[in-house]
Amino acid sequence: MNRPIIGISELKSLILRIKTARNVDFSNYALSSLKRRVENFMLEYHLTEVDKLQLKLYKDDFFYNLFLKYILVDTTELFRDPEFWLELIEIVLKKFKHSEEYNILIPECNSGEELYTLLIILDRLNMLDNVKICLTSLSKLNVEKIETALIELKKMEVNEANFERFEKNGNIFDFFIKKGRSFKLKSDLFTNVEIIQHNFFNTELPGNYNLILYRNKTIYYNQLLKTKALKKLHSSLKTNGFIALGIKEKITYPGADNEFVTVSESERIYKKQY
Amino acid sequence: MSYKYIVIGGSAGSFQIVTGILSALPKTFNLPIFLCLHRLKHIRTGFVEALSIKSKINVVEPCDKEFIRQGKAYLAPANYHMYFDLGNFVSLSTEPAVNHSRPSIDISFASAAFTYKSKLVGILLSGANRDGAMGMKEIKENGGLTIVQDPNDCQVKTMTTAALEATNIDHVLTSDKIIDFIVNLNRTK
Repeated sequence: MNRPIIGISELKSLILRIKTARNVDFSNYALSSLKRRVENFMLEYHLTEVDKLQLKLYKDDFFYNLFLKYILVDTTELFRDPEFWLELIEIVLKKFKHSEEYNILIPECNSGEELYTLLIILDRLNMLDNVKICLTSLSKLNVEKIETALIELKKMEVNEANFERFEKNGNIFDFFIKKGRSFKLKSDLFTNVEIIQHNFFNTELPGNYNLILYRNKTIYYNQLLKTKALKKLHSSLKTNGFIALGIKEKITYPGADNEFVTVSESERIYKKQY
Repeated sequence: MSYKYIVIGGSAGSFQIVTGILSALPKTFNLPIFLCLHRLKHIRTGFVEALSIKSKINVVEPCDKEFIRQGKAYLAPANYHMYFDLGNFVSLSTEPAVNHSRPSIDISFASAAFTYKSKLVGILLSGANRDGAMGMKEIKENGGLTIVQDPNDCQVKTMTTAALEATNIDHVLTSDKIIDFIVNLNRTK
């Protein structure tokens, strides 16, 4: 079977149906990449028509959860952009070293790599005792996957190469225990971590975060939803709190210059001004 | 036919041809060119600078949601896929690699094919895997013009041969003829 090709009107109809049936709104996602993921999902589940996909998503909870897991994009690597993590340590994390408590939010996360990377770094810095980390995901299946702390063997080659760029002569396997054909991040690193399922756009967030990791999330939104997400995160940060975006993302909405100051242009780290 | 967008894919053996194209284009060249070239994912800097040395048109690695302008070349950034959205802007993605590649030529070609239809020229150059073949098929099916570098002219011909097997390619040209073709697009526009 060839990959089905769907039109924009079919995609919009599907989005509307999901919104009505499931109260999850993809209407302001970047349509080009969303379209391809929907087409790939249909190919994987041997569906040739959008109507049949709509019907299955409406009727079948398990199928809907599979769809959600597939559509929401994972972070595929530990220590993606090692330069970013090195900059984050110098500019941000070291400031929290002597804090009584500091709070980090990783919202809309669909795989564990950002969290696991952060935990490894905080362990290296002896900063795990006073941190509270909250990770959220829209997908129940993704939450369950992240909680397992497992990474497949086939992904470890790229993770190992990234880690070597982060820490010369370091060994990423020091942080993992082999479990069959996977590696499990050591469980003592998870003491102060909460992983929850929620709809980011429909849920109130507390305003007490010192750092929000939001790398490569807004690339899946259109400008409207990107602005909405960043404004929501701005109100969730403490004054002088930090937010990190992906290296190809920028905060560009009108008035953002008054709300955020850039602390690392190359690694896209911003600080809340007020 | 009035072509308004050019998308070029390449891998091993394509760098010199791309620099040849960019150095041959006049400063007044007024079509956007999208470059999806396989590259080392962890090397973030240097590639766009190398392509810019002899180019008279501006070569950039776009940020997400960057508006597409005429007469500019857009190089897919390392470790990101590059899409083109209705509204004429670039969308990036960190979806898994396709054909072991991120950026993937298939993704950029298919997205450009869907968005620009018959206004698109797709060009596939030398390369060592099959990435780009399905993308060329989608360009053809959406009414765009398809060109591959003559496999006998390629340093590595796996990529162009795969495209020729996947679809009925409009033109098979040497690298010199590809450069002439692109330069002439500006005149016939």
